Amino acid sequence: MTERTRQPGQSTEPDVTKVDLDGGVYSSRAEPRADVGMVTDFALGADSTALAYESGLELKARSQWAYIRRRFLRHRLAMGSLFVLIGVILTSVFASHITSYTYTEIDFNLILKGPTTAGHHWFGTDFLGRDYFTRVLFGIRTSIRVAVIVALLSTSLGTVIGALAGYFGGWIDNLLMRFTDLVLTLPLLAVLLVAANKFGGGNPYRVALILALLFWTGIARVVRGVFLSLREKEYVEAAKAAGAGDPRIIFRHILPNAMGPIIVNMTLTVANAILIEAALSFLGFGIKPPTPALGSLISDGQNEMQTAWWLVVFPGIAIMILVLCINFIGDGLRDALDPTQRRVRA
Amino acid sequence: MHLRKLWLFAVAVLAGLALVTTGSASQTSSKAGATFVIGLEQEPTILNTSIIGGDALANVYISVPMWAGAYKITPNFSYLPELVSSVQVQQNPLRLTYHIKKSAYWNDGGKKVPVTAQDFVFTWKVVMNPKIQILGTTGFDQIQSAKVINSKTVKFTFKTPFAGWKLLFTDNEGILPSFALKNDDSFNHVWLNYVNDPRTNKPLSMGPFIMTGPGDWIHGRQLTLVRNPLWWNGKAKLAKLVFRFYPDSQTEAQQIKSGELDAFNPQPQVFLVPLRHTAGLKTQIGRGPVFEHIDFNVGFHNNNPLLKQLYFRQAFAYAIDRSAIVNALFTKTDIAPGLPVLNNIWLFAGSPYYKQPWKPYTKNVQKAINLMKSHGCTGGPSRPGGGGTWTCAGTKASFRFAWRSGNQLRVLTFEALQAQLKTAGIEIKADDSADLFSSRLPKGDFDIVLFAWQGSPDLSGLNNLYGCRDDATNKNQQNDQGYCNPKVSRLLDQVNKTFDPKKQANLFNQATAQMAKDLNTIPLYQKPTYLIYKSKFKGLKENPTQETFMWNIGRVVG
Amino acid sequence: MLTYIVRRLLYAIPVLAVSSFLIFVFVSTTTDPLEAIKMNPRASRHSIQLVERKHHLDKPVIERYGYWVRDVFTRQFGTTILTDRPIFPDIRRVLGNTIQLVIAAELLTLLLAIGIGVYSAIRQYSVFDYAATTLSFLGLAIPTFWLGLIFQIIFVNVFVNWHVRIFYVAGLSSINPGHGLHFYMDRVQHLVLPVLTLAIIGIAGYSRFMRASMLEVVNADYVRTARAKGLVERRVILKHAFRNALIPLMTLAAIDFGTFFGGAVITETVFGLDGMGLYFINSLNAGETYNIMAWLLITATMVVIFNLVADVILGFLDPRIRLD
Repeated sequence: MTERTRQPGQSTEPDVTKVDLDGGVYSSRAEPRADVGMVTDFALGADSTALAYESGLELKARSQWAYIRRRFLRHRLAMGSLFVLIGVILTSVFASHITSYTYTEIDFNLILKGPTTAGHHWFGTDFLGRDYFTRVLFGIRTSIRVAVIVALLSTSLGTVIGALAGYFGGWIDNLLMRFTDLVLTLPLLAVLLVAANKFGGGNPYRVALILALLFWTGIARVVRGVFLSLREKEYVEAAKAAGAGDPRIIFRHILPNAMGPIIVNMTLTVANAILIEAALSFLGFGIKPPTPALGSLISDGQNEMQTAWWLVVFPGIAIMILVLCINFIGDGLRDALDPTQRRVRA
Repeated sequence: MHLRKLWLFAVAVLAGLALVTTGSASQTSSKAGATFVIGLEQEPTILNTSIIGGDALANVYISVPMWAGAYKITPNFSYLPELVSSVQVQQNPLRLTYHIKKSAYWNDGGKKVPVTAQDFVFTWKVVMNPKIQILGTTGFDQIQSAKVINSKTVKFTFKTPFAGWKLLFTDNEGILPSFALKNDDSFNHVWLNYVNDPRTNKPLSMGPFIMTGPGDWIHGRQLTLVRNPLWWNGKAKLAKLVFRFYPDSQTEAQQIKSGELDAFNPQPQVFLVPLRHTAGLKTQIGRGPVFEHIDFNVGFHNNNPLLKQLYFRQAFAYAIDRSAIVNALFTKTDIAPGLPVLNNIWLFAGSPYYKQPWKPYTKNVQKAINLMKSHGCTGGPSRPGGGGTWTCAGTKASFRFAWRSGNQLRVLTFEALQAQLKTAGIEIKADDSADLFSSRLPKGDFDIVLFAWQGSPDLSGLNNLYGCRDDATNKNQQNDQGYCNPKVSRLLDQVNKTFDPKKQANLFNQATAQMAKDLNTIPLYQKPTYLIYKSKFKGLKENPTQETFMWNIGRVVG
Repeated sequence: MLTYIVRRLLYAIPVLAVSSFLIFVFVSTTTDPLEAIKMNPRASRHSIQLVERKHHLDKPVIERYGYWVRDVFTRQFGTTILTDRPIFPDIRRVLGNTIQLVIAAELLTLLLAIGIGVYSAIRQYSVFDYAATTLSFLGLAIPTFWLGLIFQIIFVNVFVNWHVRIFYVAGLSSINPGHGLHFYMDRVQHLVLPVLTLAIIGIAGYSRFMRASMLEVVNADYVRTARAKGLVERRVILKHAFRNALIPLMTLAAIDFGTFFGGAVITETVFGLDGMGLYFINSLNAGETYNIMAWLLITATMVVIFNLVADVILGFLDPRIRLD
């Protein structure tokens, strides 16, 4: 990546130089760090580089992304969630190999039976006697597809719009924000009703696109706020003075500071998107039966809480796990991306 | 932190509130009769049930206790004379002479005003007034003239015979008060918030209950009726009726358990079944005149041409297992145990004229497969469940199956049918939409559709749905299937003119026997109805017709 | 600042115009209030035509929009298509009910969410943090109706088993709520559960946000400076970090608050509350375009106003921001 330039006025005489076992370089002079083992001060590294060359040591120049990656990998909760999430996704992808039933297999003799080991109906059965474990697994697959697309699309869209509005200000900001206001005033259900009418069908990608076009407004305003306050910062001025272009300033300097709220917002969107899907089926725009989706599984079983609790509990747990994992991963990402973060282990 | 203190404070306030206000149970009974609280899942927009928009189901519950008609429809779909003591029927041309009960009168703001022949004539004139947005003119538009013989006798002469004449002056409000209303555009707005005499602004009623003022209807919450002290047909035992408005039946179920509701009429669903076995509550299961059925699009061209082939429709009828579906949806879930498969349309098991022309269509997948194969179809299974989908003369046996979105029972029905048809090599795909009734059905934009009709004791007028359609002469405009069999058309037209109920039913059964052979439609089941109520209220009887269980509310004791 | 506010209010007019036009076109072309009537084989075609002509249902959309705009100013939002019911009294009523619900829920949410979020951030990765995080995700993953239903079941069972009515599980008031203090106590008893339902889910979202925002701030240079200067930790947090961390949450809350006037549909359905959300759903199902437009005008105005409020907060509290 970038070359570290020497800061004017810095001393070139450190006391001791140590080579980090991982290949990083740090100095044990002056300020002993609490988080031993991690280099977070790039400025110090600058003249240590010079020193290392002088003493003939091998130097591995690490990129900023390498540090970010390392910090992420050390975030236990994030890594754990990543594994769980991958596990859940793999399970749902290979669902047909795991379960002995298909999700359309109807059995009128086993209607609304509770969870049991008999016949491997671990999650019980639904109104038509179908194995609920299978339906939940396939439901995860469908819901993830739609929800992740919605979350990624809407977050990207919102971030871009917010960044542009906050960074450039002026009439761009005005126009974009009035547009945001407009989208915010449109009631979700009315728009979906129209979409259902015009486009029909239950194509999950179309649904995801339309939802994304409505969900981006919250994150846009937050990102705009961050950009508005940070574009006056000194390091932005410094970067400009050094000749950095706008895109670089936006992406390298200001955007990482907005990652926190962005990621929180993304996880909230995932959860929302999954549950909105249930409302869509009421308008004829949802995922077509018999394909299950977590949101519609919950809404179908919602009234039977006292008699058939498993209809809502298991998809609900699935949603919770998904949201939890994504959010902890998000936590890890945010911590990893924040260069001023002191404690990184979780 | 001061935030924590605030949090503790909030909790303390809530706890204090809870303690201070507990124990405030609602008052329900007084010495002179009880209050009966009824849950409704809809709120009326106007209290006039004769005009467009006034026909919501909620309206019926509220207006039946305040009005009376020539006849009352009983729970087994028969007509009981209410305002008339007798009616003379003469044929060629049809002439009806109504003899009104001498004892019948209105309570007009505390004054007794007798029901007269003028009221009958006025009702007819209002219905036929082109400035009034009347809901339906069926039958009234065939009246040629009216003659008032005396204040309690009136004779109507008809242009053409109308077999369903008993519904006249029975539907909606029944008889309108000629002394209180004007026959003009004001009828479109009368009784917006209060059933009254518009001249004096005093309450008006001909039934066991009456309103006392516009304040009785607290919009969004409840509507109250009190006992009518001047009811001509006796004295109501209950002192008050309170209708409370709820958005759905889950809330009502919680309310009846928590003692804030006394009765409600929900769609039967699984979560209501435990209420049937709850102490203090009773449930009556009715079989409604609403029946679920499958229709094929046999006429219009924008669909799969296989639909026009009788052998395909027969294969369909033998591939599905109607009794298994009805059993799974209603008996296994204990919603309506023992609900039978419906084997006729518009006539039901309770009727003495019920025949079952659709009975032969029971599950026989092999027969379905053989039907398809013997007509040159290829690619399908040779045995039930063998896999593959038929292709007949280049057309794949794959169809769009439509229903109106948002109905879980229909989704389940579709999924069950899909699995059953698959074993016979027929494929159906989900094609539900929200605008099924408003735009798709009238345009014929469907292959196979699942929905329900609301039946009535009157069999006339069904040519509209099944008779041959002619857009040039506006004939039978409601026939969205494009079904046309001249024999059936003729029979249904004759039904409209036949007065003897036995003969009428006989003709009708001939028509449906033909339709069962043509298989343009397949009936599934009568929709069950629930009446759930506190057992301390005696005399309640579920009436699945348009009268609802309010039909005998004057005799109910609490 | 004043010119900014005035300018923003002026910009709101085209936004409202475009928004109202879009929604009018959307709703009037995809719903039909006479749908149920048309399905009835016995309905009078002539009457249907009467209604259609009276409400211009047969005219092109643009012309109908024009009629609506006229009705907004001359006839107080006009009347419903079926039965000509005046809209304004109904919408005033449901708005009042929603305001009660929403303000109570929002206050409770903000109070608790800020507390939990700040504490989680200060004690990052502590037991409290993990517990709050997990509970937050529980709150996020739980569908609203489920939570509401659970509350209903709990308190109904309390009534059935112990014959004591702590909170009502549905409706806004009892059948005979009385007057004055008794009426208000009755109303509070009815609103506690819906407010709790809304608040729990709100807290789940906002506390995460507050925590994230607080974490940003706590690691900032100026906080480090304050600590280096030797300030007491508590003062550092409260005076320097907390206020700055509050800004993003306040802007989010302001924006969200604008949308609350549309009502909380699911909560209102579960608890049978006569509010804006239920009004919207019923009107949409019935195809009553004018009702929806009235609802839209109110909610759109609120959204626009509170977006403005959010921007003003941002400009006011954060001295780095220049609003121009």
